[in-house]
Amino acid sequence: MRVDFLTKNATPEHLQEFMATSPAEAAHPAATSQAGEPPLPVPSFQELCTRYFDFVWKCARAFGCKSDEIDDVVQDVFLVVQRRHSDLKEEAAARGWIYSITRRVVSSQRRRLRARNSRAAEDIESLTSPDRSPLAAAEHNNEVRVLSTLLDGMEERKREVFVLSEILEMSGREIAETIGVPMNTVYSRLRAAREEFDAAAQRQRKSLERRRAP
Amino acid sequence: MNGMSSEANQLVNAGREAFAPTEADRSRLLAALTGTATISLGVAIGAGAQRSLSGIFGVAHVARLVAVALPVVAAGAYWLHVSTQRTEPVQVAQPVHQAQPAVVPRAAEPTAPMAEPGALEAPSEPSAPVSPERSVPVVETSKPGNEIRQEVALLSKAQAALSRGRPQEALAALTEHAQRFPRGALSEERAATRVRTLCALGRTREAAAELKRIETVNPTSAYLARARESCAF
Repeated sequence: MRVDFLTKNATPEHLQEFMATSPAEAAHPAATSQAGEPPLPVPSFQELCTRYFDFVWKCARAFGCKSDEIDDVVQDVFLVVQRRHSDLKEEAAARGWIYSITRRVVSSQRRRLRARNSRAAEDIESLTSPDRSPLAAAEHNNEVRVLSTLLDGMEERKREVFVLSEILEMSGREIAETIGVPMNTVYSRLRAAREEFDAAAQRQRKSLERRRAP
Repeated sequence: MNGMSSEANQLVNAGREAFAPTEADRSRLLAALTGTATISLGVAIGAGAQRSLSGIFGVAHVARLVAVALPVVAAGAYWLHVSTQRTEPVQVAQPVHQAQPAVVPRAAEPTAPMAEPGALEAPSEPSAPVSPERSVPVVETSKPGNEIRQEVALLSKAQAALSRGRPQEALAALTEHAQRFPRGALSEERAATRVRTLCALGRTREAAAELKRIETVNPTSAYLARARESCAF
């Protein structure tokens, strides 16, 4: 038996009241069940945690969350998910809903850090793997640092589809359902994002080569 | 093939690896989220709970959490006992039907604010030993991770007041939220709740203006539909 003092008295009605709208209402049309098909049962909160943990974590990291903030951010995301779980009416809406929560929590976190003018410590050290030689680890860390810099420099909508496609390896359809835009839009943004990223990566390499040249 | 150069793909591959959680990350956080690391009443802060938590956060940290959480747990237990006596005799001991995210990792700071939503649901009586409003003050802290909890607590306070027919209290909580978190993660919810609160106060003109502002600033807000219903706009 356990008592969760945080939610002990938070009735479903209370949660609904607090959250003001249901994820089904917020769902993107592409993510809702097809007409005539019975919706899949709503996953439990535990199932959502297990199913979307990696998704939330990767999104948060790829959208700028540092390794020393990630635990707090992931917990905050699932805290909101848990609070609003009773509003989730169909499984199909879950990913887009959790994605939007994640983006907002990360964005809020980044704004706060910027407002404090306290740049989070670089977390490169924490990326060091014991499986790598120091040289390989340094190289990997540098790549991650460059990647983060290039992602930070991208326009938000391009970054979004680029991250979901390239880092999270989601299909065009999955991205369309998750962010609620037509497939054509996803692909056109993705094409532009790849071109931009590729050009930036090559500029970065040339710049590095110039610095290394005697 | 994505059409990008090998340099670009190398960076992407580094990101796929670096931005993914490790097995240890999964175990640590999923345990906390799905309830493995929870505080049990009766063995509250007992050896079992300590073992569970210390495995995740380290013994020294757990000791600090325990020291800070103990008064909160005790107060919560007392309040639950008092508030449930009239209706549900042993509600305290009821198993929770669904795992709740165990936020004990940050119990040192945020436990109190999060207790507020529940606390506010209890009928407040002058003679209540621990009044809802006083039992769980919003903790002032500058740690970013706590702010969403404080936001949740304030909005829950507003929602609870609104549902109890106290729109004036709700408005005060919303105003406080707006002052403390002008661009908070839950600012959309705040705006939608404000519309409903203004409607409840009969200030329909202001409610309409607020609704219009939401429509302008965020025309795709998921909260618009509910906000529109409030004054039958």
